[in-house]
Amino acid sequence: MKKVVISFCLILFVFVSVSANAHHGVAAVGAVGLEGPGAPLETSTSQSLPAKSVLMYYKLDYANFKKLTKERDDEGDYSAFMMYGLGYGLTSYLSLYVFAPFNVKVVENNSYNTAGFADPSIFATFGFKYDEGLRLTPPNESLDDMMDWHFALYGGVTIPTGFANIADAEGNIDPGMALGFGKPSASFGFATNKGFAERFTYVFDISYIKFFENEYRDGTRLEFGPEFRINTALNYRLFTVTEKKFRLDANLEGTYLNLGRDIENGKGAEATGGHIFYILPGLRAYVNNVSIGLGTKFPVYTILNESDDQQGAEGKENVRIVFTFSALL
Amino acid sequence: MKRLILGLSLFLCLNNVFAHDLWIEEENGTYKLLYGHKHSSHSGESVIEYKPEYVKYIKCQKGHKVEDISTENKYPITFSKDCDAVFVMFSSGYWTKTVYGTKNVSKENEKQVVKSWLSFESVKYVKNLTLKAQQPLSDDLEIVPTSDLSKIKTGDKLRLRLFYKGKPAKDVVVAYDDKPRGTTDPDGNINITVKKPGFQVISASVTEKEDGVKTDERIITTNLNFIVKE
Repeated sequence: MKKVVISFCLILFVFVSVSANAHHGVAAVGAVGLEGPGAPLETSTSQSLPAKSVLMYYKLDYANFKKLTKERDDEGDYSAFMMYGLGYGLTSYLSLYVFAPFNVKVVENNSYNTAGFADPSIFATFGFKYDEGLRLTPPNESLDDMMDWHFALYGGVTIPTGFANIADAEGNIDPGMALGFGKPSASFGFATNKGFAERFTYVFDISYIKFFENEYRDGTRLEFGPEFRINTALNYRLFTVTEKKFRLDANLEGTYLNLGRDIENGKGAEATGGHIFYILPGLRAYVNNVSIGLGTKFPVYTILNESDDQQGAEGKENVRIVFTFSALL
Repeated sequence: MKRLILGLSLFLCLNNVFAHDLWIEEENGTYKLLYGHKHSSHSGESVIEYKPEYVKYIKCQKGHKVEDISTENKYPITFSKDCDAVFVMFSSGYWTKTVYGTKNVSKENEKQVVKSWLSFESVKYVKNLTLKAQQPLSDDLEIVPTSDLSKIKTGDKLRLRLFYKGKPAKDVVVAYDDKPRGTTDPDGNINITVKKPGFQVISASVTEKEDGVKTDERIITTNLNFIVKE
């Protein structure tokens, strides 16, 4: 069973500075928003949403795959993963999120293209920090408080409402092309960030996703391999234009992704799983309460099981283009 | 978003209010009140002469005891006293900005008024850094350190509490070296990292609405001064 890119993206939110702006209010004006910690594009930060605030989020992750064979067959050509998200700051240290992914997966000969909403997910993040001891993320933090080590524990589940049994014209089902996993998946993780030297923010997060076995309409039983990620990022504030409330940041992110081998009918599936290391250079701009991020992601080192047969899987991208939009209301 | 807008308006106030600094210099128990741009990031004269009558009162704290001090009505206001901390309230009175310029008068008889305010400024100088009885010396806007100042070094976080009318003041902008660093929490607390040794200037400001007859608003600013050795 060839596994096409898992459609689940673990992006908690990426709106730190502007949220911090509203969060911490006043001085922030032209100060927190422009001088606070930065946020990468993919690495989850540990900054929680301001209490009673709403975050709107959109992400596009476009992946163009290397073509490993000459034939134009049913192997992956490109995919576009869109994520619509809504977050709410229940308190200054507890945030809730709902994400609805919309996936587009296209194969070379167009014989088995799929598109539609995939499994939505619900998430919670619990934020805390170190400031002469561990404490919950407070509702008010100065710019200097925001330079402290911040942490977050997060977890969530997907709800299997996506179409898992989507088939090609001949009725064949490839779970890798499905719009859902058929069963819930569970994820949890830990994130931390620290500001330093005024303009830099270091961000680190580690997460794990567990999938459960699903029996498809054709009788196949498949459990996607677990995903283990380590993301790390360095953010640098390039410049600000105070009067326009504009800020531009540069990010460099690195991701280690370990994909477990899928289990099909009780046995390890061929051409699934492996180890991938990505880098993602990008930019993030802030204007008022809106933030836009853009970056390109490349696999720079891969060890994939039966690598030559994994066209269309993670690690076989020519490039991924990542775009994010977020607004705090 | 409301908070953002509030933030913007207060920040704009800060830009005005923090345009000058009031500070106290101390040498061998003699305190001198000065006014100007010496510690300000704004351009302008280092020291500006003020009218001695602008000084409304001076308080001296020694241990737990706080007493009023009277001085000679002469520029610059100078006094010698064994104090752990001193607090000076200063008011340059009404200011009115018109299309023709800014004058040190109320708005009553002015035309084409753009903005008007009544200015109050205060400064607190903590001399005895080991002072445990950190407390507000006045009922006016005042910054009180809650950290042990004798242990503060460059790079350390300084914990402060802001009081106004004897109560903790929340949602007030606090600036370090003219740069806003955040707002006070509901208990009046805020933390600031000390970024350099030497003379420290931490500022806070509140704006209150007035009746609009003599002026539109009252702007109250306070500074905290102390010295960090390293």
